[in-house]
Amino acid sequence: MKGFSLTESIIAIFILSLTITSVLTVFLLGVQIVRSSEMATIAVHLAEGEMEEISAANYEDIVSEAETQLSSPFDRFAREVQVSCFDPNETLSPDCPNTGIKQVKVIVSWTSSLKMLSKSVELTGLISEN
Amino acid sequence: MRNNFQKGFTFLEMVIVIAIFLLITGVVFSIYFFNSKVYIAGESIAEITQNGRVILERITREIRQAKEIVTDLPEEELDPANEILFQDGHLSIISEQATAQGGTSQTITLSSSSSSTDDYYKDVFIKITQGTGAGQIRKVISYDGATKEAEIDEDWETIPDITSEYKIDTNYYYIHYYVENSNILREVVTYCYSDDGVNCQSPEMYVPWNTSPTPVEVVLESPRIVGEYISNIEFWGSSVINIFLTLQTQDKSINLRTKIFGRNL
Repeated sequence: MKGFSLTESIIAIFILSLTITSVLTVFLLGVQIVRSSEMATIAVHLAEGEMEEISAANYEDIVSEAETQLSSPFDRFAREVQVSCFDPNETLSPDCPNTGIKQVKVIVSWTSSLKMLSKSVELTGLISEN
Repeated sequence: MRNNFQKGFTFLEMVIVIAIFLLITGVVFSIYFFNSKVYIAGESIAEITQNGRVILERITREIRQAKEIVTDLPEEELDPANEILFQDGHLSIISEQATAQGGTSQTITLSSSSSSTDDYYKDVFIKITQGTGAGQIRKVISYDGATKEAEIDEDWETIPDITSEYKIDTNYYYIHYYVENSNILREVVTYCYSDDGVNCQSPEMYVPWNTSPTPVEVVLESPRIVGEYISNIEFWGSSVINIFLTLQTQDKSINLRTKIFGRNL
């Protein structure tokens, strides 16, 4: 008997569809990567803007801010500010006396559209009292 | 009677072969078109993202150092400005008037009493006030302190010689960013008193924009395109200036927002 059995054809079709799907996924991955770099660019500018605003503020007013969602059209992004005292040698006590320098960390996070992954950019800067 | 040695394909076989062939061709083509669509979409996004980055990078750097914002910016986003004019704060103050020692199509040799520091006159505008080539304004892009030779950004129309008097005055350079035909343009202007409304009075003195009586605006550097695909640009806020930028190409768009704290405002 010549020809293919049902099992053989099913396996052949299965392999073929697997190949096509993986090829298409590669293309989609390209778009995803471009998208994610776009989101990262937006986030970096938002974080830079926040950092500028912090450097314009009075030293006493520079305090941590809890994570808050931004307003439209940036509602996919959330921003958090962490302020701690600067301690290069980590010798200070945990309650952190005033060293005259604050370490400011601005974190802008967003949820990647396709994989529902949480991504973020983080800017760290030092601000001195005078 | 059927021949047992018959060769060739039956009609049914041909139909199946053609159907399979068409199916495969169709799949291959649709993958190809899908691929090129994806490529174009990715390219558009990359293009507008890149333009946005370049524009913001440039504007933020200049505003951060600006001495004064001339455009009246509102505190809130409600009624933002769509252009910005501010005083350049990147240059040290130079005010010199002298006679050139000569020039070529791309250079001018400044007077022997000029600075001997390399690149001392970099990025300043030089105007020929009298003699050969009077009225021309060019930007210095490099300067050799030993030979006093300054290279300019654009060729002279009339090459200056030993009769050419020039003036350098960096006191009041104003940078203007505005949008025209979805391009963002940057020009450098200054203000002076004028008899004819176009050229500055001798001795070519630049004044602040808000001096009284009202001076005329003269262009030092004609508008140049800094970025493309702009559909909207907004400025607001006083000491911390907000910039909101929307770029668009085909069906792709991107919004960018940042803030700048003007260190000298």
